[in-house]
Amino acid sequence: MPKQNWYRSEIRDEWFDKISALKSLDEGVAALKAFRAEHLGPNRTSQDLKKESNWIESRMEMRVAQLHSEQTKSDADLLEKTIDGRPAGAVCETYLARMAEIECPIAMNELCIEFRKACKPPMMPINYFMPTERELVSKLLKLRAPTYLSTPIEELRKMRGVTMISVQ
Amino acid sequence: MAGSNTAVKEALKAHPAPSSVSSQEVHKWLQDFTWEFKSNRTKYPTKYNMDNNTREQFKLTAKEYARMESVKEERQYGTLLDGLSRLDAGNKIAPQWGEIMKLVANFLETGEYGAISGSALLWDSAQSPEQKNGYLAQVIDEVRHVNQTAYVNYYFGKHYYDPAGHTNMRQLRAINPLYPGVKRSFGEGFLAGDPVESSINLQLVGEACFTNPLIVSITEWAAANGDEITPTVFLSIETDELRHMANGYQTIVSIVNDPEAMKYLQTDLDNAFWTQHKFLTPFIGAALEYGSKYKVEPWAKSWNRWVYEDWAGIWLGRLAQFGIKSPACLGDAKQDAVWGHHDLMLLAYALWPLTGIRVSLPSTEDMAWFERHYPGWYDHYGKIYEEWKALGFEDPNSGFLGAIWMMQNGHGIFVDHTSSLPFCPTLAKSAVRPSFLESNGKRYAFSEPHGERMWLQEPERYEFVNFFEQFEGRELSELIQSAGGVRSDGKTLMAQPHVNTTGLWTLDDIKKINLTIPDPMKILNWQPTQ
Repeated sequence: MPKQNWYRSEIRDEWFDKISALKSLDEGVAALKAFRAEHLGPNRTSQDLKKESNWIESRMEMRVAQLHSEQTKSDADLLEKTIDGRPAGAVCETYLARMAEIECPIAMNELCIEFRKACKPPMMPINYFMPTERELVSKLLKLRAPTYLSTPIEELRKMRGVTMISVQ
Repeated sequence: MAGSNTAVKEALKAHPAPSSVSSQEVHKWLQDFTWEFKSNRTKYPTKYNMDNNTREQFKLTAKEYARMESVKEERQYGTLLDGLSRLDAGNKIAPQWGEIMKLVANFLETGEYGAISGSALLWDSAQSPEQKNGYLAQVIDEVRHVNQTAYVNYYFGKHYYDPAGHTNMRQLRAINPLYPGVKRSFGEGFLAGDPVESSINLQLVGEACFTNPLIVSITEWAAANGDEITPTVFLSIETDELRHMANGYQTIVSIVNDPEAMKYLQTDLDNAFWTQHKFLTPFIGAALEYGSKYKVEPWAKSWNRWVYEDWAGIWLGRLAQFGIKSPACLGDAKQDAVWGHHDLMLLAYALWPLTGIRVSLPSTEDMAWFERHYPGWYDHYGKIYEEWKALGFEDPNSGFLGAIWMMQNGHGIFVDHTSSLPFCPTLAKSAVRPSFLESNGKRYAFSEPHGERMWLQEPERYEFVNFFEQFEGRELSELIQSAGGVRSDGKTLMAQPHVNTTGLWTLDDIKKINLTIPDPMKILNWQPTQ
């Protein structure tokens, strides 16, 4: 991947080199999983890369997808299996089964985040990922809306575990 | 010749030429060419089921649509390129207005661009062929509107005496602290989330509620300030908006027969109204009243008529039969309509080098008008502006910047995480009830509880990086230069704190101020309150 020169930052350059150094699919998948856990979504464990995290993730996804296609010879495998070789349909079914048991919007929110971090392409073919995410998020929207306006804000703060602060 | 024409007419009368099939018949016939919906479900998550039998009010075919729009284009571009060019209309505009149009046309272009996506995702989501047809026509309209709003900047760039800023506002808006508010309301609001919520944002609130004060009021103010260009384009845009408002109404009609929908609809309406209001109410008011030399009707009065009475009263009243009520946040919005634009403009003055336009402090005449229509304005805002002027607000040698004055006087500027707009808790007269909190290692600021609630309910939706986070540690003149905020000499700023032709600020004048962008959520001594 050539370096792009229209916008440069040291962080991007550093990650560009790290991503280019990924030489095997296993290594790439592990790196992408770790990056998503640490730097993406509202439950990220680090805020350090927030400005560049989406860009870095997209470049990692490109590299992992490239390694995947180089290693996988069969179209059927690319279209029907997850990147680690499991049947994509069966994996989706496990998430949908868990969805059916959930009636709490916070728990549903967590399941949607978990699914996205674990299965967003190239981890899973888009033809399985997108319809399943649509089902999961539709349920999340339905669970949230009825009490969206009526839940006291203090209760919401408690549910999200936030700390109120002020300038001393 | 006259005789032969009469003969032709008489011959045709006796033997009429076959007429074409009526356009309504063509429309009906086209609906037979439809999709197999059982296997064509929308790709977007939604809470709603849109009725497969929803009708479309306008029933336009592509041929009729194209004919109608081409006439509008001919009138608009013909007027601009012929009549108005020969009249030198671009140079008969009050300078303040020519400046504010640098922002208005460009920000609205973002809205039109977002509306292309918004109406396209509705096309994907609708199941009724007629409803799809209505949304499809809107997609094409929005493409047209993107071109039109961009053309306003282009035309001003060619004909207005100070083109700097009209020429590259797309570039300059990267550093404008007000622009993220546009992205939130027009970008995210129009095209993300539940498709029905997008429809409510775009069509039911953005278009049915705010295009009247935005696009219609603005033409009146434009004309009063010598601008014949904006009315020519914006009124042409507004003729399409009626069809879009009807699309919004049909979205509601397509879901209300499902009892499940009523569990969700009021929430989406309240959130959409607050999302659009948070940017549009203060921005339009500031544009009209502070971007003009010649004043028309106070913004609070226009807002009350178009938003409070016409939309919240009459328009939503039509939906009352379905159980829809006016948004609960309407009271706070009404307070914002009186003071929100004054609060926003104070921050725009304080941060003027980043706006890309020439701003000018209110004149004595302006101040009298503000005090007459907003009693208490002078004691709150007028005195600050007088002090700033005395301290050298306009003078490039003064080293004065409003933002620094605010920080030195204990008036911190924060960015509301949900609306993405800056606010100053200690100087705001609008419905500001700030809260600050820490979550997962990051600090957040909110200007009021409606937005805080939206973030608490949907934290994954509000991942935006605000101005201070994005540019923390950058020196101000370097930031302006890197965003292309200088004129052709490479040093004079496009933005200026006055509309005079002399005494222009340069990068060196900004450099002397020695301001490195701070992040107030990091540098202040934040401590838990409970």
